[in-house]
Amino acid sequence: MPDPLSLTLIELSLVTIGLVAGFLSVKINLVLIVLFGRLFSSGTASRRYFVVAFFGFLSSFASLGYYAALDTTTSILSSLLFSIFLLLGALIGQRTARLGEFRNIITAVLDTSFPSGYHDFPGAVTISSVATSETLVHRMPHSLSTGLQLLFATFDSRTMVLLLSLRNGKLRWKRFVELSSRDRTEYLNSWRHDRQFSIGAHVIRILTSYAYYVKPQTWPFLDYNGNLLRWSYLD
Amino acid sequence: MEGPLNVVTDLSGAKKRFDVCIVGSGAAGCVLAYKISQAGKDVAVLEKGGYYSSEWIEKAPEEELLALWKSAGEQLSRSFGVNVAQAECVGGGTILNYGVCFDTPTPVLEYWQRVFGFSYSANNMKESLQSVRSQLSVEKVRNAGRAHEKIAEGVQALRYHGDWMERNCHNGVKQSALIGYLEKADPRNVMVFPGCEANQIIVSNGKASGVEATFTDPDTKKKEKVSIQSKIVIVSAGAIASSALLLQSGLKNRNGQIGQHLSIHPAAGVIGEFDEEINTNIHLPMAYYCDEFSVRHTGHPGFMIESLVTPPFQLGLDVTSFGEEHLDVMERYSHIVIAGMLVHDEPSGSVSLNWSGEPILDYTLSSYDQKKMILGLEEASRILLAAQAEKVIAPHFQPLAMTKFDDIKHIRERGMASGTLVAATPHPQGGNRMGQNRAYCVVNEHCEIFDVPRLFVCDASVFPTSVGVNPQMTVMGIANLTSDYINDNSSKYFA
Repeated sequence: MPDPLSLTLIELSLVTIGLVAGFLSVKINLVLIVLFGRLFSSGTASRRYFVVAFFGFLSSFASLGYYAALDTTTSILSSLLFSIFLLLGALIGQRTARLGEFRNIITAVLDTSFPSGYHDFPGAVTISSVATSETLVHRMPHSLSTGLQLLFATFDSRTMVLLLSLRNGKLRWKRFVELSSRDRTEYLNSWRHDRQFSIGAHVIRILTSYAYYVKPQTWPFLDYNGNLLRWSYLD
Repeated sequence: MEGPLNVVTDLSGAKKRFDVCIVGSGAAGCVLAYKISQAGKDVAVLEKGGYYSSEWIEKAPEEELLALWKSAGEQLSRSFGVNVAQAECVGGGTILNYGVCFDTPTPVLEYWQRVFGFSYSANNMKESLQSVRSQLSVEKVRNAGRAHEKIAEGVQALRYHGDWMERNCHNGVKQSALIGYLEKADPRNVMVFPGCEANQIIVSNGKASGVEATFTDPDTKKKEKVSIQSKIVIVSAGAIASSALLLQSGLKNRNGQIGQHLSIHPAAGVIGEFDEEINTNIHLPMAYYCDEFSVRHTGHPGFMIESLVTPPFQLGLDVTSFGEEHLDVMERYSHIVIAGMLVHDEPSGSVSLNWSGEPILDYTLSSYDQKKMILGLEEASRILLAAQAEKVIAPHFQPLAMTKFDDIKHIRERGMASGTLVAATPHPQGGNRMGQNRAYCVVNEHCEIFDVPRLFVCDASVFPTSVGVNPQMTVMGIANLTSDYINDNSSKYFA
């Protein structure tokens, strides 16, 4: 059994490693999405961290018992401490991954997809399409809406923007919401053109197309009288 | 929201014990409720969605019509590659669909009989479908509008086989299953519980005896658990939800087949842009079909092509660009008709549950179906060009615009790898196969679950394979026959 000072250092190390590892697990998930072009576990992101914490507990328990020669009770308590801070790190990582900034990202996407003033079409942002898209997401099952928010966080990430801008011969170390209007359009179309991410682009289009064209303010520009959907239900 | 139905809005004092409990009020649920109640039995119909009368639908802003759709119209597969559109309201998919009526193709029926032991003969099915046609006033489409006439012209120019569709319509009113069946049932015998989500099937002594559900008060939104006792339970919640309920009820391991062999009729639309305005004041989204390449005409699984005019938000999904490039196409909305192509696919999908108990859909287009998809897109493009479309746009993520027949070859060059084009589906089928072999079917030839007496599944999930045409008539035809079976065996189930 180590002396008190060594034990304190071990505990402090566990706390630090737990926090950092938890934080990075969120980033690693986003990197996996970038690299492989698909979501893993499709939205059960929160529960994944409990799985990570559980395996973290097991691995730290095994390590502490073997390398630090701690007794069973101390190993269990230390591993529990590690797991708690692993989970905490993941939750912090999730917050800083801007999963909560969905509104800002969808606003930027809508503004890029349906800008104001083009051939007199109303801008999506001016006709409350943002609120409509948020309503749409909130009506979805939890796993799907979480998956969508993860997709949007990846879409907005600096890593993703850099990767696709490099392919276009540019260097942009910015989030999507920080890009210029021209760069945003180019970036959106890059998602569409890339076979790995085109499905992600389509999901974005599902949300934005609905949120825009369901608004009566857009119909005069399309010569649409607004009744086809209703008639299809009734006539 | 008022209507001729006996709709439960308050659980206190509501009856909880019935002869039959039906989960789901779609095409099958409405037929079953009507026919079984007509035989004097009392029936509870549990529906997760709300009850929306025709009057409400007529007045609601288009945005609020989203309430009639499951998951706000977004039911994405695990890979996000497929979006399944299903309803969640009393009347189910028959409220939201285009009312298109096709009888079950004879080659499909014969295949089901030969391979799965589907016990109803072609005559049984024909009589059943005729009964449905009569109940729903099915009639041929007339005066559908210029947009649909363009597709007809293209099909006729190529001398392909096609015709105007039939729809369930009477005096200008679409005869959904709600109007044609459920609202005609005796309200003393049928109680509808909207906002009531079935959580688990109750099995006592190895037999189904009711359903545990969660009822949401329409006014206060307060949730309350409710237990509906019944002598038989019929699950008619649609493909995906029916399999999910059976899995949630712990029936997964009986033979491992629940949720397997799902088909979806993957669909894609080719946009045809014409010089003239063709779709102003169109009433019907769908009106003309070409079955030259479908099982109806060839006897083999292929694809159907159907004329389609959609609201702008749906057309927007098929226009794969963003920003000004997208708006340039959408601006031509009134000049556009879609040749919608629907593949008669192999059952290569499945439904399972995630950790939260939510259904997860997995589906991959088989290589054989990918070839059909390519052929279908080629023929849809050919039809539009034959109809003198100025420009034809295939639904690829990389834009593919065609102006002459020779351009069609580029569709094949693009191929069908994942991430190539837009696909959707309104027709999930299978997952609870019907047949005589308990090793690879879930329900027997009368839709009763092999391992759980008094538990029936009756909806599109019992199709052994996809049907290759719009499925509502087949669903209702099978429901009709199932209700006849239950009524004919009253002494077995209700004594």
